[in-house]
Amino acid sequence: MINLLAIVVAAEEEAGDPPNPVIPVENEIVWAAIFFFALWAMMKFVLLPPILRAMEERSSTIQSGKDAADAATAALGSARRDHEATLAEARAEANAILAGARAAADERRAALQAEADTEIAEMRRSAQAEIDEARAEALSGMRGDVSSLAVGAAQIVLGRDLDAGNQQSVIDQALSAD
Amino acid sequence: MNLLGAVKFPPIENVIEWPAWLFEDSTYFAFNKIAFIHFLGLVIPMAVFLLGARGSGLVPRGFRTVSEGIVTFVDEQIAKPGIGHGREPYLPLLVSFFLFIFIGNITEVIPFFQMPANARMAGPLVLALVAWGMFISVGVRHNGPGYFKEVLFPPGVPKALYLLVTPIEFLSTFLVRPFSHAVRLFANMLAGHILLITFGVLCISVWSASALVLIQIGTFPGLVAFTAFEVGVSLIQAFVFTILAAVYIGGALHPAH
Repeated sequence: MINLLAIVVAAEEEAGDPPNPVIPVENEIVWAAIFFFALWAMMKFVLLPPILRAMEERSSTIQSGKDAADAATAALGSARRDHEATLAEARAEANAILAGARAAADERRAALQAEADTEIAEMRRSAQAEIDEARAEALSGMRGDVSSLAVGAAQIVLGRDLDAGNQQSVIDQALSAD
Repeated sequence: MNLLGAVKFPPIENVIEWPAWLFEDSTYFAFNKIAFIHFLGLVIPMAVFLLGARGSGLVPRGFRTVSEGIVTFVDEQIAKPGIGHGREPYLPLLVSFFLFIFIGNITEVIPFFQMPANARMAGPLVLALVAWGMFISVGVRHNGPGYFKEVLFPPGVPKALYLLVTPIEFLSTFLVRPFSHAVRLFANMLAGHILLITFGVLCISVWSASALVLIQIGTFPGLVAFTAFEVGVSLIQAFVFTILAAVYIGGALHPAH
C-alpha cells in the first residue's frame, strides 16, 4: 500500500502540480504507525494496569468502608434497641420495687398505727378508770359530808335531833336524783 | 486599492512538505516535524501515566489525578456508550487513540509547533486502519464468519432488497469506513489550520500596512477567538474519532444491537 501511495505521489510530482494534501506521505505513515503501536502496547501492558489497579483498589476500599459504616450503623441501631429494652426493663423493675416498698411501708404504717391506737385506747381506758375511781371516791366522801351537813342543818332547822341512819336513805335518794 | 493585494498567503507546500530533521528526505524513515509531534504523542502520555502510577494513597494527586481523569473520561464517556458490556479489553486502545490524536491536534496552537500532525493524512489514516482492523477482528473473533453475514445481510430486510443493501453495506462498512473515519479528522484539522494561517497572515499584513492598522481591531480578536476555538476542536475531534472507533468495535462485538 505504501508503494502504491509512493507511486501516486511521484506521479503528482512529475506532473508539476503542487502536492496533494490528501495523499499521505510514507515516512509519516511509518513514524505514526511506530509511535502509535508503541503507545498502544505501552498503554496495554505498562501504563494502564497500575492506574486501573489503583482505581479498583480505591473503589473497593471505599466500598468496604461504606459496608463497614452500614454495619456500624446497623450495630448502633441494634445496640440502641438493646439499650432501650434494658432501660425499659430496669424502669419496670424499679417501679415494681418502688410499689413493693410503698406497699410494705403502708403495711408497716398501718400496723404501727393500729398498735398506737390500741395503746392509746388502753391508756385512755386506764385513765378513765382512774378518773371514775377518783370520782367515786370523791363522791362517796362528799356524800358523807353532805349527809352530815344536811342532817345537821335539818336538826338546826327542826330544833331536834334526827336519826342520821334514817335520813341517810333520803339523802342518798336526793343525791341520786341529781 | 485592492486590500487583498497587500496580503501574501504562503504556498500550500508550507503545510504539506516538511523537511527531514533526521535521516534523508524521501526515505521511509525521514524524521520531520510531523514525526516529532507523533513522537510527543507517545512520550507525553507515557510520562503522565508513569508519574501517575507512582502516586499512592486513597486520594489521587498530581499526575495520578490527570491519568485517572483521562481513563475515567474515556471509559465513562466513550467506551461505555460506544461498546457497553465487555469494553474493558479495548480501553487501552481507546485511551491511546484519544491521547495520540489530542496531542497530534493541540500542537496546532502551541508556539514553535503551530501545526497539527493530524492535518497530514498519514496519522489519521494509520489510526483509522487500526480501528478498521480491530473492529473486523473483533467481529470475527466474537461471532465467527457469521459476522460478515450479519453485516452484509442485515436481518429483517426483505430478501429482494439484499441486491441493493448488501453492496451498500459492503462498501460503507468495509471499504469507505476507514477513509471516512480518517478524512473526518484530517479535514477538520487541516481546515482549522488554514483558518488560523489566514487570520495570522491577515494580522501581519494589516499591521505592516500602517494605514490599515485600525482593521486589527477586527482581525486580531478574530485570530485569538479562532485559536481558542481550535483548542476545542482539537479535543472534540479526538473525542469524535475515538467514540466512532468505540461504536465500530461495539457494533462488531454485539452485531444484533
